[in-house]
Amino acid sequence: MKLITSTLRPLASAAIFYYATLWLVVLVTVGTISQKYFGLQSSLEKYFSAWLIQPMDMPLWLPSGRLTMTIILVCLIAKLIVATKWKTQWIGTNITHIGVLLLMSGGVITAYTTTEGNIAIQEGKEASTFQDFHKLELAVTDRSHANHDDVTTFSDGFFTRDETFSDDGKIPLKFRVVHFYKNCKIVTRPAAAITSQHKGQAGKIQLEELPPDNDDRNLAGIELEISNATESENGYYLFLNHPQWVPTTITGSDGKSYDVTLRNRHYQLPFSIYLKDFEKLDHAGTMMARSFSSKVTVTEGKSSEDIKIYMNHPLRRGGYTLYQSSFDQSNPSGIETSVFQVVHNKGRLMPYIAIVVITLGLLIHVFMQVPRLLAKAKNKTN
Amino acid sequence: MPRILIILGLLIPCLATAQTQADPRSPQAETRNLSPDAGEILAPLAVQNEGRTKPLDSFARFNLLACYHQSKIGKISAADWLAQLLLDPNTAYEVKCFRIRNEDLLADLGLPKRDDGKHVYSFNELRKVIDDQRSRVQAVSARDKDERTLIESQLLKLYSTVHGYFSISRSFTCLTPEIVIDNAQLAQELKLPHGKPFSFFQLHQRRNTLRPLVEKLHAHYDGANPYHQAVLQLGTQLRDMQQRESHFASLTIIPPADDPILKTWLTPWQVLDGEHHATEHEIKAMTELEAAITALIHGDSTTATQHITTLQSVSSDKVNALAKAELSYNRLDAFTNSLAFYLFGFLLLCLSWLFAGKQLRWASWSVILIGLLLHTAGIILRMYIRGRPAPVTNIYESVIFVGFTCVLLGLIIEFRRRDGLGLIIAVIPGAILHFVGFKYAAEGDTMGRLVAVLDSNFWLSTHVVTITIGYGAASIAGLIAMSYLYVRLFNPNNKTLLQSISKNFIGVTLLALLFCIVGTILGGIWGDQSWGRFWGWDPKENGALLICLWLLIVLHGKWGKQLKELGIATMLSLTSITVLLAWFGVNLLGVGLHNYGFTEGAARNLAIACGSIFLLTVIPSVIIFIRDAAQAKTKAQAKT
Repeated sequence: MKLITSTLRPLASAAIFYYATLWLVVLVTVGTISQKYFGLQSSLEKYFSAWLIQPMDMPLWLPSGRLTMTIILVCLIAKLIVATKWKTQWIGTNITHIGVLLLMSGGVITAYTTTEGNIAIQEGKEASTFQDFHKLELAVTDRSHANHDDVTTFSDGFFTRDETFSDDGKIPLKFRVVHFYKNCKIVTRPAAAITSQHKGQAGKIQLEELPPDNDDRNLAGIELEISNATESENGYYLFLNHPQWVPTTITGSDGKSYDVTLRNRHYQLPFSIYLKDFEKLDHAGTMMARSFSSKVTVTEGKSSEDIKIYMNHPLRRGGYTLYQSSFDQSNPSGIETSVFQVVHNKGRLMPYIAIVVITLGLLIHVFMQVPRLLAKAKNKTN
Repeated sequence: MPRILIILGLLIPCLATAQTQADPRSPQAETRNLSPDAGEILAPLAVQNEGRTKPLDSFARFNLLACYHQSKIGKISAADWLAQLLLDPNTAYEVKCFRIRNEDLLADLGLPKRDDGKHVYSFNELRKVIDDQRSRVQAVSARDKDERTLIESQLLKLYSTVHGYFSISRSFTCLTPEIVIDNAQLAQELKLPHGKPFSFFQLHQRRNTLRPLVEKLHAHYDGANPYHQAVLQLGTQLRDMQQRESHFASLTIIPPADDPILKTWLTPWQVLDGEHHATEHEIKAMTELEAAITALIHGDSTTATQHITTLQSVSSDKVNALAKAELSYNRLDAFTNSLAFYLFGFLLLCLSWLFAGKQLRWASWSVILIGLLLHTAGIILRMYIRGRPAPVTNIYESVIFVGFTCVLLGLIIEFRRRDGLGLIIAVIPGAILHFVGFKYAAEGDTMGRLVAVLDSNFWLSTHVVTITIGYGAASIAGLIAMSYLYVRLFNPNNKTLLQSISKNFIGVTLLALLFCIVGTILGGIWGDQSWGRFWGWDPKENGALLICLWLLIVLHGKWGKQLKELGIATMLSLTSITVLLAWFGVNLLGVGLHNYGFTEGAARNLAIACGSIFLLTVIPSVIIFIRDAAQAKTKAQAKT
């Protein structure tokens, strides 16, 4: 016990909080301005989700958002355990600090458990999977079965140079990453660099890395060396995460055909959504939207239910929340497409609890302190 | 004969062909003797514009602001200006009401510079110049916004303003007397006056009588027959008018029979459109409007007022009540008047210093309180008109409400302190924010509709109000801290005064922290409710977080003794910069979900404001620091 206390004591320091928060101010400022030039997603990854940051690619590693906030959190926990005076005078401050602890714990849970993506459904169609906004996967589909497809996926955790991956139990193909870019463009491959090993599009083009797009419209691409296919099909292949990029069919050493494609990671929902109708209402006499709403039928097992999803009124079910987020009315036949944002977050209730606690704590503190601090000044000064 | 066929086309009315050029021909013949109070009579009439109903008075103000950059031309009110434009366009076209501020644009357009430096032109002076720019404007507008020069952007704006003005001016041409029948027989057959002008609408009401007359001519047209000529002439005029005028008319003033708040209103020309089947309700509204217009054109205010009253009864009570409230809001001009009281209060405060008058200081306090009451009245009226329980729904209202918060806090502090500091704290942000508000109001409608995602009364009245109060309180904390610096600079030995001020700024900082933190978390919860994420490091969120972190640094720096009193005051005084950046700065980045209120030139003004706060803080702070260091050194030397 003493050991814990003596370890925590130096951590429970206002100075650590003070300098860590000053550094966080710097990160928040730079990370915000950076969004204009490098897009929200890449700024978020660099300044807020990452542990360390290398400013301007200098050989110098500084704490990024995640580490800075962890330091603040550790400092707060240490303060609460060893350095808190549990006296009436400090009741407001102490409650507030507990509230902040709850809020930050919610942040930790969210950071590690959230999946979010979207799902676009046409009127009259049904869907039960959604796609991650940013995470990618390499999907290998075995279409040899009569009534179902067997999909094997490899997450983007594998997508680092020279990494190899395979799934021996299910598919014979083996992969090695030659290049992977989160954002790239295609350029002609110089004739001298083309060998018989470059298959399909890889025989004509290659990828060139680009900085993150400032509107988050990134085109991810990967060049893979695939082996354990039929002898003539072993070699280098290119895959781009683009809707018009046709999956590449490769015959494995087992003689079966596999469709290989790079796509946003897919997740299965525990229920399915059927879109009956999407409606967009405008403010009278303008093109400005007043409301968006989607009438859907949600089917889970044998039960189904009719629900309307609209702005500020999401559908919550099985830990998933579906929000009306966008739409597409460009189809000339008049069939509209509704787009829902899908979020699964185990920490989502924490801010709700935290705000009650923090408000209570701050209110107590303000009521105890502010009247004294705004006291009459005149008789003292003159 | 083919001409007759064309006229037949009129009676199976066709859609006007796309026509963007202002047509110099006007059918108006007689000179008109408008009622002098035409503007006032039309002012309360509700119209629908940009998705909401508003009184014609507001419509007039926003359009005059667009042309003239002021809501009055000398002594002519916006309503009078619009009334003339609608009822007597040919005379109105001579009124100088287009102000061009950029002299380079003038030179570019080849317009003569005005000696008075105001560069105001009439529509007649501009119409040809503007029409000549048509192809250039098309080319420029096809380009991306970022790729336009300043002159090109201003040209686009002027072009659309002039066209908007012209469109408005053609709105009532189907109701004003524009057509004359010279043939007695035809006049009698149509039961219309012979030789006296009448309106397109009157003739349109008789289209079932006119149609067989034209069809009869179709079989045996005789060019020498004056009656035949008259029918042909009337038909041609009708067709031309409908084609030309209906395309321009833009004032939607005819309400639908039900739900006038949400359903689309029509222009008088749209009611008469061949593809639209006018309802009895619409025809009644048209008849009353025409009668009112005719009376106004003949200077008969009493009859006009009666018809306007009947016309209003055609619309719903709710619409009329809102229009009336908005008219009162416009006429009360609460924020300008409240500013006058704030400035007068400040003057009294200055006098109280000169004459050390306790009474004068209390008079100042009361005058500022009256200003605050007016300020409040304006906010409450807006809430009623917008039908929202929240005082803040857009950036303009946030400016007004932060001003309100600052003045209220200042008055409370003054009530406790009684030495004038609270009054300075009240008046400075109160007055500055009113001026900023006028800048926003000069851009046009400040009560525009909200985008769908913001349309939540619950969150507008919780998150938005809380965070806005937070902005206000943080600014006040910053201002008190800044005044501490100046008191310490000029009066370093009055320790009790300095101590009381430093207590005050810590008190207000705690208050600011409460509102900022709660407001920021509430915003996160709204985000969770609306699109499923509590926090996304969006610029506006980061802005709010920045204020919270800054306040936390100051408070923890004080408790952990990283900061002494001078450091606390300096850091706190800079808080206003974080507030400005969170409030306006993030909009300049042009990214994120909260990007709702960008104004031109805002970047420069923001930089000036932040720069001034920085200098006003750092200069006294550095001087005090150096002085204190020097004093400490002398003391140390004296000891040794």
